[in-house]
Amino acid sequence: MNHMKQKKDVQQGTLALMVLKTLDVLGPLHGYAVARRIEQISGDKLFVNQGTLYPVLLRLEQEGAIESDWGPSENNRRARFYRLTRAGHKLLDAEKRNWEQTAAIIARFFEVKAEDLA
Amino acid sequence: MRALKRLFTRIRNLAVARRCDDRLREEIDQHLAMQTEDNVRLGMAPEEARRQARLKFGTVVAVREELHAEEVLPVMENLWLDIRHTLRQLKRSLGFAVTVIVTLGLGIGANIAVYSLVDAVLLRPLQFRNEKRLVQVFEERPALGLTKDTPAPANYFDWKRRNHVFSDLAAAKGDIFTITGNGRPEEVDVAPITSNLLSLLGVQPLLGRSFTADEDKPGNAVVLISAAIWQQRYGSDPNIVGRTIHLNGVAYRILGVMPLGFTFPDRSALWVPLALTTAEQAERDSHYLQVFGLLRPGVSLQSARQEMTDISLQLEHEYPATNRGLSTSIVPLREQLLGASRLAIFVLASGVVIILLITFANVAGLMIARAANRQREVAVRVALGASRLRLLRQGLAESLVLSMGGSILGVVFALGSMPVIRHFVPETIAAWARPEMNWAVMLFSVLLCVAAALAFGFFGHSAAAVRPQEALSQGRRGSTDARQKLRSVLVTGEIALTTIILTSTGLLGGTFWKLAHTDLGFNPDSILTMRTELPVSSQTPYREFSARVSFYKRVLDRVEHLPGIKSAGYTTFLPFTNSGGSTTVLIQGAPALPIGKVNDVGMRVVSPDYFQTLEIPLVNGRTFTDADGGNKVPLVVINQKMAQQYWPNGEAIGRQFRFDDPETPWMTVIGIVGNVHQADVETPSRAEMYFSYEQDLGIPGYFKPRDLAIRVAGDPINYAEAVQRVIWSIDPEQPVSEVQSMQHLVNTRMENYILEAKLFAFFSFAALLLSALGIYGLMSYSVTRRTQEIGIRMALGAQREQVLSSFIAAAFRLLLVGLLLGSVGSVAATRLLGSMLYGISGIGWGVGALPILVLAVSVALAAYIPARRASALDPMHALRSE
Repeated sequence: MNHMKQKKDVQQGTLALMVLKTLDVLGPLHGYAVARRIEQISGDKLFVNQGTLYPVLLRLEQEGAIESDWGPSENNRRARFYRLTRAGHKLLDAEKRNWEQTAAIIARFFEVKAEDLA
Repeated sequence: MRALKRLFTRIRNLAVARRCDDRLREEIDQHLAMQTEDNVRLGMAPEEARRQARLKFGTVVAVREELHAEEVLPVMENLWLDIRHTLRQLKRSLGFAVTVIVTLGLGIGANIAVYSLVDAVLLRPLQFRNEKRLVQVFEERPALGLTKDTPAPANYFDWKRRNHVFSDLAAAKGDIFTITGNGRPEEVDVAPITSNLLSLLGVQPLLGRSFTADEDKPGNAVVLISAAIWQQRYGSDPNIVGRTIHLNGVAYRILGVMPLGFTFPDRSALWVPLALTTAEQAERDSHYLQVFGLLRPGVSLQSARQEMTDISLQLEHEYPATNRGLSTSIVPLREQLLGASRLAIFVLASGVVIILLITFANVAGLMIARAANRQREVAVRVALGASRLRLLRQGLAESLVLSMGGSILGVVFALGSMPVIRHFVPETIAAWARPEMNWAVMLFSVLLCVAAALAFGFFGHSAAAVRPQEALSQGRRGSTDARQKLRSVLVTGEIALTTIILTSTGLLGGTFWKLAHTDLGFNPDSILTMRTELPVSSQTPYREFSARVSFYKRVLDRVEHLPGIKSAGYTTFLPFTNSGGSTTVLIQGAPALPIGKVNDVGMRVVSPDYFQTLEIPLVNGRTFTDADGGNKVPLVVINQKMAQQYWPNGEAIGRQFRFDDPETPWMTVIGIVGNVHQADVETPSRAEMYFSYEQDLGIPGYFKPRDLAIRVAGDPINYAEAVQRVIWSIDPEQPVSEVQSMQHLVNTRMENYILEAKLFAFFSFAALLLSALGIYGLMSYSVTRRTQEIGIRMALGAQREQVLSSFIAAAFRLLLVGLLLGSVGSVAATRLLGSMLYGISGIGWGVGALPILVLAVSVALAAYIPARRASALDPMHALRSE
């Protein structure tokens, strides 16, 4: 049970970072548009169950990283638009740095050869 | 920070969860619609487009569930579910729920009510600043048996000058003034006080100012009035300061108004300067001051006592004529004000603690039994995969629901009992000590109850740790034996505590019965009483003896002619109003008294019909007649006690004695009347003498008749108005106070005993009921548990009587052990009750045996019902039962 929980957290964390970056780049979007963008950018390589996006959006909103409000969509549907807040910008910067550091550390691990440690 | 923010949002969401769910549903619908549109645009058939959209989204319900878990606090939601589950469970075993809630409610209600009283009277500080340092200083003269005597002025001034232990000493005395002038004449208690008393107590006037030291001199007609007089007579006039009030016909300037509820000392309504003359300040043999002291910070009571003893020794040496054998005693002011009710309250509180213990023991027993009964259910649920934590939580939820129910009922009981509880406060402090629903006490009791219930719940539901295989295969036996033993211990404890309560009740009830059946020496039925205090200041005609006698004669004559009135009489003080004054006498022909010994005799001045009116029996000789007014020989009527004390051979009539003053004439005994309880029911009569109101023997004004007793036909209070009209027709300025029936006067003094006896009767009943319930529960559970065993025994030939007696015997074993423990406790309780008991010493046979009998019958009854059920079992049926 603990094992499952950890795995979900990692996933959610990654997805949250994607949501934040998408909103940062494209400005206010509704849930469906966010899902579409993530799909487009990551191509077929990432299978995102679109439904899992909404808990992430809700959590980010509870944390104050994003705000939401009802508005008309491009084809005049009522949709809930999500927008990055100032706290969200800061969070994105922090998460981005965090991610880059992690990625750099992992990359160095892959570069290490046996003779380097001798 | 972020985690905290989320927590708050989630807590808020608990309330708005529904709205969020709606929002999500709409968002998901729109999402699916947009995906479907896009799919159609890509060339899919509408049906297929919708299907693909759903596939891509995932399970809507799962998403919503997940979102819901994100939104709110699952713990709280589960708690709510557990509570709802509990309520359903309890509905099915309503008897159990009601028993637990009422048991807890009674225990908690009594606890809150009595602790509110204790808190108001004992724990909350007096309203005086520095109350911990305030003391009252008394004179003591052990040789004369005088303790806590009021000091003489000269001693007070010497103490004040010589001591180093008090920041200050202040003094007051008691007086009665009549408010005259505008409105109805009214008689009020007045405290002439030194100018520093109020600042010593730390009390400020509500309006205006206190006296200055300059005003504390003779001739200053200034006064502070109580808030009650300010409200009633002056309609809370904000410009009252500087106005004039007429007291005993003299105009006084109002300096200020004291705070509401301030009546110190005693029941004072007015405060005037003590203003002792130089001559009065030098008096060492008139003892009438009340002296209050404020200990210097850091000075102990012990060192203050030591210093005052030293000063007393100095004074004894300097003024041997007046101060021989005179010492002092210092009592903390609060202790002095509380008096004997301290013990009563302590005893009451002990009673409540015992009830609370029995309550908890019973609830614990019930919870344990319930847990045992549900063992199989729990085992089944564990086997089916219920988490143990969840089961424990459900057990605790049940405890929580029950204890909350009990608490609410307890608070309701407590609120209902407040008016009764207020009667327990002694009159002298009733102005400020009002037991209110004390919320801190309430919170404490409720928390105690909830904590106890949770503990029982946890304990009982250690059933959650049950091993399903064992529990299911073992049937009803097994680990329940340990619980059964524990319940037996609890029930034994209950019986022990109940024994203590019952014995105490027996003793208090016995005291009350004794008091109610004490011969008071007079018949209080059908007597109307009232007080007409004649002013004796130099401004009134009543300073003359003859004017006073003429007033009494006219009142008695007119009153006795009213229809329905049998007789009327005047006296100095009626029984139960004031223990009255006394004086020392010398018996003619008796040997000289040893130094330091005196014949102290109670004294009253009465009209001839007084004895007949109160039905005080004439034992020998005669009482006064109207003709005695002209008699030049001073006459006296004495009581039996005095006759026995000074003329033990029975020849008192015709003998003579005089006041302890060579100037006074010899007086002749003309009659002996019965002894009367003058002070109260508990205090036995002492030697007393009565003088005629018409013979002027130079008796001090303090002894002048003031109390009127009227024997009537029917209810005395019906005559009150007619009698007052008669008095006002004789003197319209004359105040009439304390109009009441004699029976009421007696009842007021008995009130505390009645209430204590009633409360303890209630305690006994509750304790008895709870213990019987405990025994019944235990036995009836035992019968259920042993049904199979009984079946086997009966199948093997056991007789019904044997089964019945084995259960009764088991109950009596518990009773015996409980009684034994309880008897030990009762002996201790009797010691504690000691000074509250009157006419009863130790545990008499009656008070000891009766409670045991009552308890034994209750236990037998409680055990008999389930035992009969056991003996009536059909063996075949019992064997098949589970």
